[in-house]
Amino acid sequence: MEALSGVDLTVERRCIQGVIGISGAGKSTLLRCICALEKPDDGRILIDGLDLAHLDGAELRAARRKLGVIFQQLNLLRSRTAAANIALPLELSGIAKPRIRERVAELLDWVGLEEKASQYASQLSGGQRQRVAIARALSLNPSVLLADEPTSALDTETTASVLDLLGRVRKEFGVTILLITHELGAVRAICDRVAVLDAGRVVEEETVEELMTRPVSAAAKRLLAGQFQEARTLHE
Amino acid sequence: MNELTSLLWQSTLETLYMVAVAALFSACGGLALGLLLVLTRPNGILAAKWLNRFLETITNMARSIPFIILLVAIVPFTRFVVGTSIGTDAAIVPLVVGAIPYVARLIETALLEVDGGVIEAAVTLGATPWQIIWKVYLPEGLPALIRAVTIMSLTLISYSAMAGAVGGGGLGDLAIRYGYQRFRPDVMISTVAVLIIIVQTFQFAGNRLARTFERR
Repeated sequence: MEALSGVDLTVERRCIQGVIGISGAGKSTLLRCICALEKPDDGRILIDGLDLAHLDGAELRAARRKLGVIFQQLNLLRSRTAAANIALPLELSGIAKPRIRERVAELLDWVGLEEKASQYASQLSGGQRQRVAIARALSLNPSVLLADEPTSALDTETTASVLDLLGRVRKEFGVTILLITHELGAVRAICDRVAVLDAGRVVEEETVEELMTRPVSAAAKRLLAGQFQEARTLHE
Repeated sequence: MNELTSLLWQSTLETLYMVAVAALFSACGGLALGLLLVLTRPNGILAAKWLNRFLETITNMARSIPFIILLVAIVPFTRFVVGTSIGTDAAIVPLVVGAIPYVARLIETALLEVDGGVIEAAVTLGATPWQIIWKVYLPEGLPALIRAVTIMSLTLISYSAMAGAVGGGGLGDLAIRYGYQRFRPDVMISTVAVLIIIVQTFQFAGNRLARTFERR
């Protein structure tokens, strides 16, 4: 069985690229391939010219640091405070303690969580946890940020603030963002371009505006129809 | 009464000594074996099929030997390690050998409870296997590890009751020799009472410690 095939996607630097698809379309597999948790049988995954699919050991570990990942489940460490979670990638790459403290303070400030520095993950709200995860993903100044359904567990208001934060990540740090989601709303809010994933294939790739006005594939049409369906149900 | 008190005191010290030393070595050995069992699993961060099968087999084999038999079966090994096959020190060797595979299983279970997503997050952050062990597995699994070591200590107390078979002394030995063989119900009852107190204290301390590190 092929989970993914013919996924040919090039993301411009500083672009916010959406990847949208219903569950089962292959979004998670794509994410796992990009961060090299899964090795594709064939093909390449290039980040800044480095092929993550064909690196091993120390080289792979070094290459991975160019990639920040925000997992759907966030995967924060329960045994660590917000500050210590953000410090983890820095510790792992052997950065000196005083420099780590500085960088963590900077990031906490940037995501607006200075006061929550010594709180454990379980003591934070969903939105705050999401911010810690974003700060952790950014700590090593990655060139690409991979966000897996960053808003699917959040309420409308928190969703807006998290998306706003991702927009600032691109604007202020020039990071390229790949946003994997099933929500058209998130794509419309911050993405420049979007790829529609259906049954393991990219069935169309275009600007968000083109998707909204001239969807070509059946999958894209279904996604748009679903959105109106949702709007109508809400209206009633 | 005076005689009873001094007998009880002496035996309590022997039991605590055996259990404390054995617990220390068993916890270290069990942690190493438990970690290896988890890391070498098919989806583990150091997946190694044959090593894993080998460790599984060894662990299961060791687990299936009744302690009283292990105690006498490994006498040559005991003599090699501590120079003698009788006495309290000689009882510690089989206690450790018997407890390691047992606590390794408990530790394996504790480490498997660590969220796989968190391990994957560490992998994508470029962590080395050592870093994953020290910065993720051990701290994230700490409350469960403390519980595992608590259970192991209680099991060691019960194992140590058989140490009398090699002249190891301790409370179990006192209960058998004085309480049972010399028909002294007072010795029997007070021995059991002291054991209950020790077990309760261990369990209470273990629970408290585990809760301190639990950040739910």
